[in-house]
Amino acid sequence: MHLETHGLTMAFGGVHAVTNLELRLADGDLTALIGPNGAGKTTVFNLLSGIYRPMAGTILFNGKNLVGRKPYQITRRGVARTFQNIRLFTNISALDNVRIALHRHVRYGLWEALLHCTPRFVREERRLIDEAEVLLALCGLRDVADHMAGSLPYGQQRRLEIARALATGPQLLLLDEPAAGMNPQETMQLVTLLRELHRRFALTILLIEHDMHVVMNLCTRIYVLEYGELIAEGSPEEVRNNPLVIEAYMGEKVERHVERA
Amino acid sequence: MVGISTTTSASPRITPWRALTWLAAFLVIYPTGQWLLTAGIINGYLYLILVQICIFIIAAVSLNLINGITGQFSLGHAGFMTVGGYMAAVATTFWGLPFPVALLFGALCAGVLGFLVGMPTLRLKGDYLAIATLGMGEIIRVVFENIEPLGGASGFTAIPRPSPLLHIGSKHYGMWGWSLLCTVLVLFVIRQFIDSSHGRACVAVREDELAAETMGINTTYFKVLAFTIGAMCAGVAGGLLAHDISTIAPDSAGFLNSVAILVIVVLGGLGSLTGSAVAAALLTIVNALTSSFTNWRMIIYALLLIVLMIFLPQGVWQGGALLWRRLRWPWARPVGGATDAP
Repeated sequence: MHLETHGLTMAFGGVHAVTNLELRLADGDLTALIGPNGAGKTTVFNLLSGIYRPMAGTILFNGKNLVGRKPYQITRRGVARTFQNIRLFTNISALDNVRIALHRHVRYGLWEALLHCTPRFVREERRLIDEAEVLLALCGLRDVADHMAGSLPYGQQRRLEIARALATGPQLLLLDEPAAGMNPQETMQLVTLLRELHRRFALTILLIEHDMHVVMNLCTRIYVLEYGELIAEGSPEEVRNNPLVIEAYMGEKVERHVERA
Repeated sequence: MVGISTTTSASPRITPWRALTWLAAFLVIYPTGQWLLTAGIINGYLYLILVQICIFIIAAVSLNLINGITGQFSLGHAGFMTVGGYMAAVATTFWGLPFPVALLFGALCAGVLGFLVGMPTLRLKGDYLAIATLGMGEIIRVVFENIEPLGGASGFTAIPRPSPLLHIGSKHYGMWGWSLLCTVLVLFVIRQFIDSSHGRACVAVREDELAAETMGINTTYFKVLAFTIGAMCAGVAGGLLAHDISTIAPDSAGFLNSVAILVIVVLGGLGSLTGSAVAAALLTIVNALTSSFTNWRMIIYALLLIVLMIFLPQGVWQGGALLWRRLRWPWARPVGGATDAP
């Protein structure tokens, strides 16, 4: 078992964002987390990546509890993420964005950083550039490596976020709405890219997505969240036909909508 | 933040040989300056200005590491300079230590203070550092005012002037070599730091702290690291200043002095080391020219800042380069109308 959460609970004031969440991801799974807006999906990601500390519950990753660890420690254990509202380092180049994420693999110390005088420093810096360029090329960003991240078109920024997350060397990749704002063609490319990355790096991927084409095409397992609670899980086929899921997305009964109006 | 200039160039640089360039620059500028001084071509007044330019370059560049590169708003730089100055003066005056050792001692004291102030405040996100460093400057002032062996409120006087770095020609003008050496060293070290993975991690903290943390970067460590390095360099600047004018007073830790360094950094462009150095030189010269009407100095500072924020928000260096490109006159453009204007 790769990632397991038990009784994961988070509330903001009186709002129960996530209640008693039980997730199970096996090695190499391609899983989606879906649900209506405000269902608590991004909160789950913030809990998994250590940005929030859960009020109750445990997060076991490779058998070790991640609760209470800082985000950078969790990343170093092999969990990387992207953000729904893109959070690139906008004023520096795409290459530097990726090189920064490679920092945890750097094998020189502070003195070498201050003086640059050892062969190891030169070797390491070369390696960083090479590795960053490989990742950029993989995500189709080879030609814009020198461009400022903030000046890139939207679709490329989304892909740069993925390249940056990959640079941390994750086993588990959390993608928060990777296809948001993309046109159908870009979405197609993204699905191909994610398949390729999943295979190449033997990744476990958990993604939040509203685009059902992406979810149904890519994922083997789906969790559905509503008001912070898990209402369904299973294969795409099972989830698609689950009455609770249809209700969550479409509303319960026509009459109630009329009443509210 | 307003007008951050990008510190990383388009193509990545690996520059282990840069040390040699800097060494060569020093080996050319130092003897030339010393010769000009001994020959009387540069007079004593210009010598004072040159040394002050060096000192303010060190102060501005090190504050830029904290404010411009790492994005942490510090208002206590004059405080670190004062601590470095007093401690270096104690080392030379009371203990008779050699000048470079005293400078290093002052720098270490300022660095330790920076570490102690930075440790608790930099864990927090937001503007706590600005408030804490503002308070720290005042505390330093009050503390030194009440230490009688160090001259109390009237300041520490009769600090011995160091002898020259090398005895080329005159025994006077000793500060020239030392301040130039320190400037070159500080510029070199901070430049190299920025072009390393550690420096890029600091830039990441400035750009987006949460994203940096999620990319496996221990943001607290890098904030404290940059702050401590900056404080140490400020300590060097303070030690130089104390020995240059052979006196140091508690007042120098005051808020206005910190703001004066901040003005240099903003004028030069946040994140641009060359800009900081150019602005430090420019402002020192402006100060010297306006020394007969000092009451107007703050007004000139304020006007300069306003004008610059409007017309060159990226600072004199990078903003100036952009402006230069935009100012290319129509008749200078190639026929066919191809322009590179933004």
